[in-house]
Amino acid sequence: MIGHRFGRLLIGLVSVVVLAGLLWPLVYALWISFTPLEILQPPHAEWSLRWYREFFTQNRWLEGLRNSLVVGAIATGVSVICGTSVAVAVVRYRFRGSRLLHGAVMLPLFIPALILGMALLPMMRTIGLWGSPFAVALAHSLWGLPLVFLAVRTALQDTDIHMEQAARGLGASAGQTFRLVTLPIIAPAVAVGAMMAFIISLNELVMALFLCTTNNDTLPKVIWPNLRYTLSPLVAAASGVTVLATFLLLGGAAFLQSRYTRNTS
Amino acid sequence: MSKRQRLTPWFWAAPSLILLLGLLLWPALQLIRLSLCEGGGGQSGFGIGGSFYKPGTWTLAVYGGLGADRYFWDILGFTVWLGLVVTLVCILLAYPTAHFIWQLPGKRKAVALGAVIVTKLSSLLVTIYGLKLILGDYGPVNQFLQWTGLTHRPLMLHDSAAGVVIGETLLVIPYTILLLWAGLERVDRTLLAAARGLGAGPLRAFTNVTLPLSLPALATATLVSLIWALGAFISPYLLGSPQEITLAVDVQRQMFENLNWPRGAAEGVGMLVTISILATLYAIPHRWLIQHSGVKEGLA
Repeated sequence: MIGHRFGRLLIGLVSVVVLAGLLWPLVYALWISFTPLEILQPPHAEWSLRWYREFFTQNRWLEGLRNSLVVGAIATGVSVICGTSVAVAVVRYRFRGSRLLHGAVMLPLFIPALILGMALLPMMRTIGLWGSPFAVALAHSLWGLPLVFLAVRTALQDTDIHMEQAARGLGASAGQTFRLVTLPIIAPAVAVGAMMAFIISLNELVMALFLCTTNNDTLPKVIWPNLRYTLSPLVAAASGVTVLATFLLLGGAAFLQSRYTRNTS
Repeated sequence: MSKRQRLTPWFWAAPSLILLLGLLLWPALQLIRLSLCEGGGGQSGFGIGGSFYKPGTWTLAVYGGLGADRYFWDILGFTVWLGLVVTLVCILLAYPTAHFIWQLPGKRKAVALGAVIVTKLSSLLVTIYGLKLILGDYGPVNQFLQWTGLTHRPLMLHDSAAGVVIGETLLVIPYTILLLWAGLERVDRTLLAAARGLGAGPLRAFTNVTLPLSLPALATATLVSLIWALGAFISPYLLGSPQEITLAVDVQRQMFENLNWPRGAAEGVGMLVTISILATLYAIPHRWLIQHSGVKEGLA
């Protein structure tokens, strides 16, 4: 009996250490960003927004943030259009190649960003998109697509297909049915998928490393060269800005998700 | 079914198909083609008419060069070593954690899962940056070790293989935990209750029921962790010394510093081939495992 209790305690201990270890670096970097000092020590008595003020007055950081938002918006748009439509195809129709299509949509999520970035670099140069925000955005949409797809697929499986059949029976065209019946029902799921796609794009570095040029660097790429040598808390503040944006979006997604589940149950 | 009806699903799938063919298949083929070109060396400035390869040439020179290059084999060796170590650490730590999360009651389970997802979704850079600060000479870990008197000077936790393993584990383990947890959620709890009711102790119930039923998820989690660990880039770059160079770091250097695109492409093709072989090796026993363990569907 003592053995069992010990085993259970050990499992609990390992799990808590793993979960805390996952969160700690994030929290620690955030904590340091509020230091009033010039050195990388977390503030204890006195907290300050000094490095955030610095962030929002320096042009290169602001430009990075702006580029990130533009890239994120484009990537999200592409992901939503592709992910939603392919989810409709997979859930609402039975056809040959459906499983293969399903696998192909999920595939990019399992390919390391480095390989995607490297493979896309010569191609983007060939078609002349290299150096425009579209190069990075399209690359990011490869990861956004499966996220939107997953969210919308679940929502479509949960909705009552009879409502769509009723609309068709009453004379609505397929397009009208989708626009007036299906879309309003799955809209929250589409929004959740869109937010996930945006978050992923906002934080993605490696593809951006390959596909951005100096005039359209995203925020993670502006942060990147500073990480190895610069020892300024300003980098912590820049990280803080991305984490804050991520949390805001995640909160929004969680809110939509909870409202959606309440409506359907 | 009329022809039009048969085409309808493909109409819905068209945007994704265009995206996947254009941004996945085509670049992959182009990468293979690029690895078969002669290197040109980048004489002029990057991006402005610089030649990183000689278009139109066909040669296997790059692959031959890789085989003869001791430096390349060193890098490959470290990459494989790192991939295996990180995968092992991830599985050993993630299984108890996933099991723990699986057993938690509703609200607390959501919080624990949220913590895992948040670290995966927020910037990897911030995680590694925070880790660099924590492992630094004056960071909390070293200060604690010296306070306890275990060491008298700061340990080299960053800029070392230890730092790279810790960093890469942090980046990969959320996937491992989530995949294992998803597999455990599929285990029928009534079977566990039945085993306990028939007199099995918790350990026996685990080894005879939970573990075999979670084997397909374990295989998936191992594969995905290995793929990600083999592609390690950010962590060796920021937490490693010049000795800890992975294939991914070298690819980036070939593309941007040595401007030798065919070589970078060849190394990338090597990574792609490795991943495909791993995935195939995995698919065969995985199908067998699913058929023999009674689990209905593996992870799609």
